[in-house]
Amino acid sequence: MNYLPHTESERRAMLDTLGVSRMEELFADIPEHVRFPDLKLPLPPLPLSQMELEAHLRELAGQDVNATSHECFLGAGAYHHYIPATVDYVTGRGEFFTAYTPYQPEASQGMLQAMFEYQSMICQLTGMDVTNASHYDGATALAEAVRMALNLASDGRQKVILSPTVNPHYRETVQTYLLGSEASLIGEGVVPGEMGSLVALLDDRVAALVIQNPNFLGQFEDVAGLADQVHQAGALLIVVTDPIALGLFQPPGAYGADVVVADGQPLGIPLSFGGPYLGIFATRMQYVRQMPGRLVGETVDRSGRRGYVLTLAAREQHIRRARATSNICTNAGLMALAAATYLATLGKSGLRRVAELCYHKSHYAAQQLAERAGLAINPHKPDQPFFKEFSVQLPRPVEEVNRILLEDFGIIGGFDLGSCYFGFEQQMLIAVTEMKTKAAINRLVDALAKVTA
Amino acid sequence: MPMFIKRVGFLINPIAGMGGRVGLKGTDGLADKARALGAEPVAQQRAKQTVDELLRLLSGASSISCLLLQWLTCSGDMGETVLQSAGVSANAFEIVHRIAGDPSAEDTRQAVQHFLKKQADLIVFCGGDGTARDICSVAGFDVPILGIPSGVKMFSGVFGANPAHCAEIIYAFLQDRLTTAQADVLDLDEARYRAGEWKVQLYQVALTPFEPKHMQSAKTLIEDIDETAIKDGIAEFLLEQFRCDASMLVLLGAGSTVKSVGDRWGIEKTLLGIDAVVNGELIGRDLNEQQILELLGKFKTRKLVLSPIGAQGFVLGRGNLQLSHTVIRAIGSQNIIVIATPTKLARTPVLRFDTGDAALDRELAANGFIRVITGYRRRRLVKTML
Amino acid sequence: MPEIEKRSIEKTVYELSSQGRSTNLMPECDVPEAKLPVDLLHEDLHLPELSELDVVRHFIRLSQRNFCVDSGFYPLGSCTMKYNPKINEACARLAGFSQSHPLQPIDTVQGNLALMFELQEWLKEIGGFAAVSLQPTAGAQGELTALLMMRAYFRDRDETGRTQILIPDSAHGTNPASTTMAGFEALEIPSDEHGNLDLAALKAACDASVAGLMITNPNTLGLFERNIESIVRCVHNCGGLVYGDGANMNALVGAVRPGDLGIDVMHYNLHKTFGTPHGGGGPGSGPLGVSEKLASYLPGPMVCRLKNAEKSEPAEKIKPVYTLFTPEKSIGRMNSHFGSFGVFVRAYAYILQHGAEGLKQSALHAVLNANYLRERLRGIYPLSHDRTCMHEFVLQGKIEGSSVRAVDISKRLLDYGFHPPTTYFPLIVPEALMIEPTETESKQTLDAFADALKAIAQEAVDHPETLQTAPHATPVGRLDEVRAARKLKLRDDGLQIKL
Repeated sequence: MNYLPHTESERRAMLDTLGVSRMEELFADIPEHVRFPDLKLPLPPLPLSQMELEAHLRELAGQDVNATSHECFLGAGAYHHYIPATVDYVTGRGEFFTAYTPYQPEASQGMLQAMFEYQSMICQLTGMDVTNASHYDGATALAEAVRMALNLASDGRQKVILSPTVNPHYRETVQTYLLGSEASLIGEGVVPGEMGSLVALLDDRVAALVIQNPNFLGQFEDVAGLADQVHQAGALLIVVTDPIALGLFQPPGAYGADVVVADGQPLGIPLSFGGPYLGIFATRMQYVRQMPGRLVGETVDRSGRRGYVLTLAAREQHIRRARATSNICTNAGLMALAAATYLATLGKSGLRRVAELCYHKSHYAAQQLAERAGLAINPHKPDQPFFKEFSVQLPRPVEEVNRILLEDFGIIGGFDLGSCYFGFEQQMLIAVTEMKTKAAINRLVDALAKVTA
Repeated sequence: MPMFIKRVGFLINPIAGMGGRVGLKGTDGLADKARALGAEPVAQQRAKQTVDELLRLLSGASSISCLLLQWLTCSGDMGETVLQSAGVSANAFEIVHRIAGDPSAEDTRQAVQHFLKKQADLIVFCGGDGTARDICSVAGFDVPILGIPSGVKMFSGVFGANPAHCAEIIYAFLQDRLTTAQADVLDLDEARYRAGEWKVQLYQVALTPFEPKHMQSAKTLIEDIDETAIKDGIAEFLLEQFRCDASMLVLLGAGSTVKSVGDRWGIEKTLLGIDAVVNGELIGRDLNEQQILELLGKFKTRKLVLSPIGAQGFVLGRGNLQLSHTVIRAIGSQNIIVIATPTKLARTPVLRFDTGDAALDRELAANGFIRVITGYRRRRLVKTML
Repeated sequence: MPEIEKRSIEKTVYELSSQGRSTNLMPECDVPEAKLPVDLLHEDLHLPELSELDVVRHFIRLSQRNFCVDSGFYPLGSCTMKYNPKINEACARLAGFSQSHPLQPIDTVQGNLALMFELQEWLKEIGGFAAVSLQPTAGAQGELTALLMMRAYFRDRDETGRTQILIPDSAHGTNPASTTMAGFEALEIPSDEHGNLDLAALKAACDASVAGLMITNPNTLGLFERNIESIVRCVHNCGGLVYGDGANMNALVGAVRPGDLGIDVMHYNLHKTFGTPHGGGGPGSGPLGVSEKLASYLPGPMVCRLKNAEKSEPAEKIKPVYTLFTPEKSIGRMNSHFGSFGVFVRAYAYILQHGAEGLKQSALHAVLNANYLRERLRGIYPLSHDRTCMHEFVLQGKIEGSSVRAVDISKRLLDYGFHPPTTYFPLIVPEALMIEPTETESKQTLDAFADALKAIAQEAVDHPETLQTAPHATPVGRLDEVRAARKLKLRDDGLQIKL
């Protein structure tokens, strides 16, 4: 068998040590009538050699259109950004990816220090005091943030305002996570982008207000004075953000956010059909003990040498209030390592450059689509600034347009906003990252001009 | 590297434990009789084991440790002799109290006063419940105490498991690796005990070094430092259950665990007494049997919140004699709620009832298990024993 | 400070940073620049400024300060640190898998969906379940998902009085945490002297308030619950459901199907049982298998195979078409997309390389290795329960005549080049050392490990301080965890922070 090292004589010697003749005898505790079932694993015929396996998986992967085979203008929460070679080089080190969660700090200083640096850089990026060592993805990080806000609300606040411009999948995830509680989510009926209507929902039963900025539609929300209003109402402000945007734009910490969450996928993590991704979670120091997830802290060893350990572990699963802090255990360590390597490689100027390119290229695309294809840009709020995504009004169903883009032009088109927002029928959300050359953008513009003519 | 000095008050009750061997239940006031019966001092020897082990631990870590240990102790058999024989150099200890004649409880109390004056970080004593009681009557909450077990009776929660274990605790505590926790100090009335009556009284609550029990959750090694948070969780869970009935009488039993529930609820709960609460308001404190029975007559719905007291896991019959079998019958066994932190339960894995009414005790012990609240929305099925 | 100690400290990215240094990875902007909304821009961003060589050296040096399966034996109990086949890594990096977008039209990702579908089917067969959802991203999320499903199930049956979840005292810490998160109350059930769940206690606990039991089998002592069928019956008789914690499934694949034992719902840990790497703390994957009665509550989207309607094609040419669906009473979504797809690829590859017989052989050898190692250590350390173990076993880190503790033995193992076992877990065994060798370790490795533990037992008597101050061969010595918690430093302050 592939990875079983024993020779027949070694196996015999081991069995002799145990005084049994067959390995099967060691399973006598299992009720006999269900012991050693005949497993029927379907096609292809098993087992495969490594060579056959690779061929089979190549064949399977070959069936998939992807961001390297086609020009991808699809975003909506997962983005095709450039991944520096250093990232794969570092995360591909067996020393990192074949280790367990760093429970033995003396033997895990590498991962622990990398996590500490990840925490440090994310704090800088988000403008927050403290960052944990990751969640599964942006959606679960938000769900945990909402639970934390509800936990902190000692005065029985059981409502959370969730802006409709928060990623719809995130909103669904939050809803599922709250099934075990009495909390309710409000704000769904508010017109997307109408901050005033959201603020109007604040009262003494609200534990938190959640916005996404830049929002799911790609645009910046009007956050001036927002944090003050939220705090005056005794609630927390939770902001979902795009870490790439923070290379250029104000971090949520600067406008008063209490918790910042994001999907860290844009920071050096491949699209990988939706996972594994990275949940970023940062908050203010005063909430550190209520914060879910693992934390790495600096300390010293017995001779005074600096080292790192998982810290405040007791609070992780400390069940104190209506909702346990969190049950999170295995999280997304390797993805956080990827993000740390990404941020260290790009650095201060590099991340800014990526953000600038996204901004300029998406604006060029929008302007060209307006001018050359005659499409309305961000029809619901044309004057609101956007970062790397914008919506266009199409004269026909998005699904139809995307089919033609794919088959005739080799383009993966944008997201169909009508699938989750009323009043956004036939609107396509287009993402333009630094990966798109002017020529590729022009091809999209030409194609859309043709399809919509 | 900066040096830091730690001061340990060290005190031996030289007659502690002598009574046990010769069938005396406790030695308080009976030292001569014990000696006459052929009892030999055991405390010296046990205390020395602890000191030897501690010195060994300290020497093992000498290259990196910058800890300077200063002993504060009493003359002769109350400490000096043991330190000397263990090889503690003369400049590392100071005699803060000299004894004349046979050591007495008064000597213990005076020594502790001197320890406090000299700012001891920890008081280590070798003795039993009586010694613990004498020490904490002076030390109160000002300084943590740790007992090297040597008495006949050791119901209190301030003792280490054995002399070596005590050394480990002291060693870790001196390095600031341990926090402190509250522990019940109990003693039984020796005069009545010798007469065959088993009446343990809860005397006081003391601070003791809290050995962070290494707990592992989800395979992560965690230190369960924060007992307070667990008690908060218990309090909140109780509140959640009582909230719906505003006319319910809630009787809160004795001991530090139940007291912390009262603290959490914002009421002035007595430490040693039985108090009554209705709709969040304290309506009676330190109630005696008669007062409890009167209250029970006034309220239709009632709950009694108890926590096991002392090292033997007694829920009833130790430290809460007001709760007679008459009272318990009036309350109804189904209305008794037992609470305990996991750390406490680890020390008392079996719970007992001793109301003096065997049939009632059997009823309380149920079918061999009772549910104990151990945290927010968390219970544990615990074995009971008669 | 001596030179050697200075060298053993690796600077942080901030300490290595030099103002103005950078690596230019990005092209010139090839489109006209748009006007920036000046009032929305930040003033400055404090990220490190490094050359590419700085970055590479830094992270490679960090990697050298990490123990891993690729460099040594990692017998961490309950974590199944088996070898992670490299071919699986290569396969997961194929562009079709790694560069496809989760929101692409389903007909452009048929390869991905086929892979997910097959994996669902295989896991169903391996566990004996009616349905499998791949969505949960880790074991703990699988637990939460299952409990939320149980909640929905009882709500639909108007049995909302079922508020208790029974949990053995040997359970993983995530069990009670997930229970509370899902709005249930946890009731811990003690184990008996044989390490099995105490049936008398279970019977005393089972009533109409019980929603279910969470059970790990083999339990965390590495013992198969001999009474599993009585346990399941007892819970079912009072109307509750049984949740199986699949963390220890490595002992059971091909040996018994939890579904056949009556388990209603179980999570798999692909990162334990199916050889996907642990990533230094994730990503994991915790698919959920369920019996018929819970199937319609699973989180979506899941993958199904459509019958191709075009009858004109000859039957053998009909290509299956895969699509996404969400079960009828689904509790909803547990994360952004489908779960840890990259992990699915590796687990899929793992299963293909083994086949049914290979999976069974893996379980057989995992159990053989554990029992062999246990036998080699007999008489040196006290065994917590002396009976045939499954894939792991628990020793007590105690040595007659020595004051060393389990933690000292664990740390000393690092000096011998071995990763320590899981220490102080399960809680019900004092000074527990939980050892899981896995099937991919050779007899030579097991012998060397046993010899090391034997040598350490001798040291514990001769030179206990060597153990109490261990490890000595690691980049840092024993770290002060209390200080870390008291003087919180959770980020680098090496630069001026404006907050």
